[in-house]
Amino acid sequence: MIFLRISYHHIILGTLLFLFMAKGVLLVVLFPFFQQPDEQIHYATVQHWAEPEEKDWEIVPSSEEQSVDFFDTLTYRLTEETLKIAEKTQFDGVRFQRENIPFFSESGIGPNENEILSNNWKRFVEFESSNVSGTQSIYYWISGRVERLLSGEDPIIRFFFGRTISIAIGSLVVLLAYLIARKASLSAFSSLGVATLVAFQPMFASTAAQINIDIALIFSFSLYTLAAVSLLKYGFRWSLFALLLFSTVLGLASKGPGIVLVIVAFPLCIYLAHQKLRIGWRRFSLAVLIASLVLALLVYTVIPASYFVSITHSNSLSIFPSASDSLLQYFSKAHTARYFFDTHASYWGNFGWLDTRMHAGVLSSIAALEIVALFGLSWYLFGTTARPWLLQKKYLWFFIILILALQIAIRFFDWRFFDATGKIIFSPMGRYYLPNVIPHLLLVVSGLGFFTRSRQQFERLVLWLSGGMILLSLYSIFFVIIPRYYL
Amino acid sequence: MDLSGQPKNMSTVLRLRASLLIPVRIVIFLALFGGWVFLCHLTFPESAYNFLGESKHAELTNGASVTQVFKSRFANLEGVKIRLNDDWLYLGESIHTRLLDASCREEIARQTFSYFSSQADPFRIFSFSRIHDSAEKQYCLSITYFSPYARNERPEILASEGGAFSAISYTDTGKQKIYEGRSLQIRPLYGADSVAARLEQLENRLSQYKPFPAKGRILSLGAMLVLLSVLFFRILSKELNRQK
Repeated sequence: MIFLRISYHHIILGTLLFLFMAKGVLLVVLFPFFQQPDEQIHYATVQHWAEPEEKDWEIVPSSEEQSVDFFDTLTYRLTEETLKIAEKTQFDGVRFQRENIPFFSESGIGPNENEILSNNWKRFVEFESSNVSGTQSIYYWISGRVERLLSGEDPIIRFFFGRTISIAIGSLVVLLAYLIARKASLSAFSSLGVATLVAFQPMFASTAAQINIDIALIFSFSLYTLAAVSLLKYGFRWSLFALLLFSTVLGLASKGPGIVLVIVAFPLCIYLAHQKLRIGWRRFSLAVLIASLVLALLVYTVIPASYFVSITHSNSLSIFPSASDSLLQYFSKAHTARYFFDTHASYWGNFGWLDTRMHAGVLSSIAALEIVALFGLSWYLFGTTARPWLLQKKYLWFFIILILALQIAIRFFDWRFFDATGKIIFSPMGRYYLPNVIPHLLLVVSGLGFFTRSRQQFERLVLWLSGGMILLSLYSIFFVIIPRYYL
Repeated sequence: MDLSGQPKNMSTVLRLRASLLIPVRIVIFLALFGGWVFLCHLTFPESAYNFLGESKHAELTNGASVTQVFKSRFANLEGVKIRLNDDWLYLGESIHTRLLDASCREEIARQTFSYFSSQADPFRIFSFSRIHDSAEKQYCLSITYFSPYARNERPEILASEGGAFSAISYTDTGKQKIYEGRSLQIRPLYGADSVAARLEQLENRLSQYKPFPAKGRILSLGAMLVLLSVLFFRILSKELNRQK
């Protein structure tokens, strides 16, 4: 009987994963060529990784290279094929300009489509100093291999198939959302609800339908969360600790913010050690101090200094008279209502090159719901009211630490950039916070769930939220994305 | 279990089951309503040009009109998208849009935007009854702003110049000036004779520059996604029902 019950939930979960993939395929074909953030650079980078080891073509030396204009893709030093496709599909005329759409013919074949299909453009980077991404990401490694496998296909097939790799990784994230919720002791139904919320979160779905390294980072964070929640539940086990280490390494091999996983692992390990060792506070504190020093020494000797220079921009010149002045100016400029709303919008639904935004009323409704959830969550965490059907407080505290760590890391990086240029670029982009989409949605569900009076009511709430998220996702496809590029 | 308790429990179960159907019905209703709204507003903007470069901002003068003659390339003209910066239209203010013949004398259609009119960001959509024989004909668009207030910052209409617009001009009667080589940022909207024809046209647009296996199937995939999403939600709700 129990077996049958579990199987039925698995079938529903399987249906959800299938639905997520179908939605992913639709999103893949809805966004025109390169109309997702930095996609022209990511695709050229994938092509660069797919190049043969023996490079027998002529390389243009740095001295002969032209300067790059951010708004003119033709000046970028990428592959010829990427640049030509961008030109033929009016990429620059459409991105950032929500009043513009591509030029359509009267049939199902685009005006320059045959030229793209029968092209003989170069697929390799021929510049000594190119604009392809320098990040050594596992995503590029996988996509580069797929690109090489598809080398006999036309560029349209190669590019759109390249996007589907993100769907496959994204569906694993949805699966992890279910597993994390289950491990954190939510009922099977509520866990399915949480997985549904993640699967239909519009910006996550969009990120899982583009050529970008972000999806690898989201997967790493999700796997790490599963390992951490399991460790918090069962205590220290070598298998779970190995999973934590693996996900941390995966995070580091995905994108820069993967460093956050290393930082969070330290207090987590201290907590787990304290649970296991059961020694007095004084002796334990001394042990932590010694361990911290050893670790710091290890990090200092093993990791090259250039890595820290790159993530802290410590070699850049400040345009401010002092560090405190720079920090004060950053805080006053980057923490305004406008930036918070921009971050909120681009976390939930500002698609493409951040030029395809959901209606302000929809975004405000989501914000209102989140504020209520924050109120409920605070009440639950700091109060004494028991809610046995919700997640235990230790999990919620861990999610908060993980979210805060990523927030601080991105804002620190943003400040370093601001210090050198005076520009605020990274922190308002909500998509950078998507690696914590599962902890965030679990916190929202818990916060709202605080106002329920029974497990039954809580599960009904999860059902309502799932319905709302499904509708939000359909709205974003049919009333935001399609009108932006086609109507 | 006592006999008096049984019907009470039964009615509780039935009530609970009925209440669990409410979200499913709401989701189905909203999905259907959304589909209807989507189909009703399915018109196709002119895509032969884009507004590149820096936009010019033409502030509207109270009571004076801005007019431009434009060509409808296709039949079934049924609206014009107009890029207006009028987010801050006050209560009592209005913008009157009129479609006139090529000589800007005879009125064909009109629509008034007020404080309460919704905007399809970043455009206002001036819609009117379909003109079947509009192909290759010229029309005149007139935009007039009325306000009971004396405002410093008035609504603006955006314009582009050069390139595709070098042979176009518009007239601002408030400033008593003709702007040569400049066009208002407007896009004629075309419809079709039937819903099927509209869907076919949308499918054509969606299919361009897309992989061969997806061509002609994108809308079907979208429709399938809507159906499956609703069905999935029904399954989820049924599962909750079953658990109870």
